[in-house]
Amino acid sequence: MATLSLKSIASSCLGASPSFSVKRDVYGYIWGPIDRRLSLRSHLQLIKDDAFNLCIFLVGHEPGFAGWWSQSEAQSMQLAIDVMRNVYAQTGVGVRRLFWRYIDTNEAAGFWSVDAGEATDLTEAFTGPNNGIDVFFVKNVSDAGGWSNSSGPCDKDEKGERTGAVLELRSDDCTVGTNLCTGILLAHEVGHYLTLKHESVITNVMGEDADGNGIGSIDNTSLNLDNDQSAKMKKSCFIRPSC
Amino acid sequence: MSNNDLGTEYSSTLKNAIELHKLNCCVDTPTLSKQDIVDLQAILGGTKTTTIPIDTKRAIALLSHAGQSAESNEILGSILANTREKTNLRVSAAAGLGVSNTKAAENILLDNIDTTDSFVREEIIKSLGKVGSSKAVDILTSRLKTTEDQEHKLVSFALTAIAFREGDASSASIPDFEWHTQTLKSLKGKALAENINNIWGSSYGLTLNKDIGFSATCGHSTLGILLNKQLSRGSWLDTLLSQALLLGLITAKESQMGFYSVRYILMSRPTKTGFALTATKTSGDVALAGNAVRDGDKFNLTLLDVGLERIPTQVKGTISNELIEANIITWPGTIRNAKHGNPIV
Ligand SMILES: [Zn+2]
Repeated sequence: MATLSLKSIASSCLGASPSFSVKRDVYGYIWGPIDRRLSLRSHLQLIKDDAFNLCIFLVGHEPGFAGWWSQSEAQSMQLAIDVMRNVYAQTGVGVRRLFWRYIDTNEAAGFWSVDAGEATDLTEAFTGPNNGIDVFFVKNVSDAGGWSNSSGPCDKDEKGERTGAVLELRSDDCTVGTNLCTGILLAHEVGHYLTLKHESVITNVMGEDADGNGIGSIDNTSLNLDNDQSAKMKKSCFIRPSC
Repeated sequence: MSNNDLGTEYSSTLKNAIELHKLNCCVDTPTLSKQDIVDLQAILGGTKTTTIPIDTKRAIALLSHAGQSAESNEILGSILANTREKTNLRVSAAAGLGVSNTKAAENILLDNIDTTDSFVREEIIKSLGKVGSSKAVDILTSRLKTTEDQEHKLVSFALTAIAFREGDASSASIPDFEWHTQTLKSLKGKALAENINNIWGSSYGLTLNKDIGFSATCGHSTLGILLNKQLSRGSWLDTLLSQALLLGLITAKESQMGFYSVRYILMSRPTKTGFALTATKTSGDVALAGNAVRDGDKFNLTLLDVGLERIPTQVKGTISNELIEANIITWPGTIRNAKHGNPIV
């Protein structure tokens, strides 16, 4: 196996300057300490090849945590992304770059708590850079755990369609301190975005749709992805070329 | 493991729907049995315990959708009224009362409208718009004076929805925006020549007509509508009806810089009923598109924007061989555009 040079990947894949920080510039974790699940070596291998970028919006954030979010909540989002990275690693798909953005409380008026229609309004009004999947963290989703397109459009300026995943950060996560459930939910919604449909086993991250009505169930064991799903995802327009 | 289970007395449907380690990914309304609803009410009402924690927000949403009744409303009401409860649970209870089809929901919402938590208050107002009646009108109207921005908008809309529902549309305040109409001005002589001679960059190979042109204002900028020289007065319809044409350019005057940049390229082609027209951005994206359709010896022109413009826009006019007249009609309200938030570095 070819040796992976940290410096060359950081500069060619991540655009990091020569004096970079591994946590901040290679993993994209900007919100304080975190116990990463993926080794640096595995992470580099993953982001070099089939990988996608995420644009994470904190809806109603203000610098210095003067808005709707606290520092520990921002850290929870980071943990959830780390859970998702681990889930996608099984199929050789990496989460390459994290673009963190915020919508200030003034602009976020009306989006503290959203239903399905308001989730679409949110993604119609805001988009991130066009090569990442938009993920919006809101304080509450009143009628679900999250909303996502079943197959994300590649032009995020498309109107009348939800062009991102809208999620709440679960305040009582199912496994304290790991944000496992928010991470699974994130992996699930992004999975829809990468064209995946509901499956027939609860242990799959896309969950089971036992009665075939389109409504899936997932739980804290929904952590697997299989090879078929991997092949499908790798054809999605959001998968970036190798770098 | 018994510590990973709500308790043996509950059905698996209910367990799946509210256990903390179960997740709801999409829409989430399993069909509950009568007993499930009684159990769910008891759990949320605090009269029955569970051996492991539940996802309370999900349970509230479930009760709102699957278990509508006076008892359920009362339980949602006590969550809503509990100021020590988490905001998202109170918001979800208020949202739940908004999908209730029972009369009592309105009273509960009105009882709680003075809560100091603005997120809860906004959700209550939204729900009153959905289930409120004439009873809510005075209370909501009095709030119009003290609220601003987001809450004011929600209160006005709730009052409008109630007025229509109560068959009293005369008191409904329908937004009174009017489209703004601007007639194209004729551009000729020196002013037209100045515009044509000072285009910055390419004119797409067009020789522009120095006899006829138009101008319009758009926000702070002045637009010049310049036409292909091939169109000449007295015969331009014949030209438009016989061939596809690079019809002209729309330029914008760059303030204080003495030149004009090309904003749109106008193109036309003959159709069965007249001719089709588009205004395309320099990126190639079509911004406005429409048709001119024969009406006696003139043609009626309609162009609509396709969603790229920051301000919704349409163009209407008539074209005869002697005269071109057109209005640009724009929406004076909210400007639409994609915002990108702020980077966090
Ligand atoms: Zn799903």
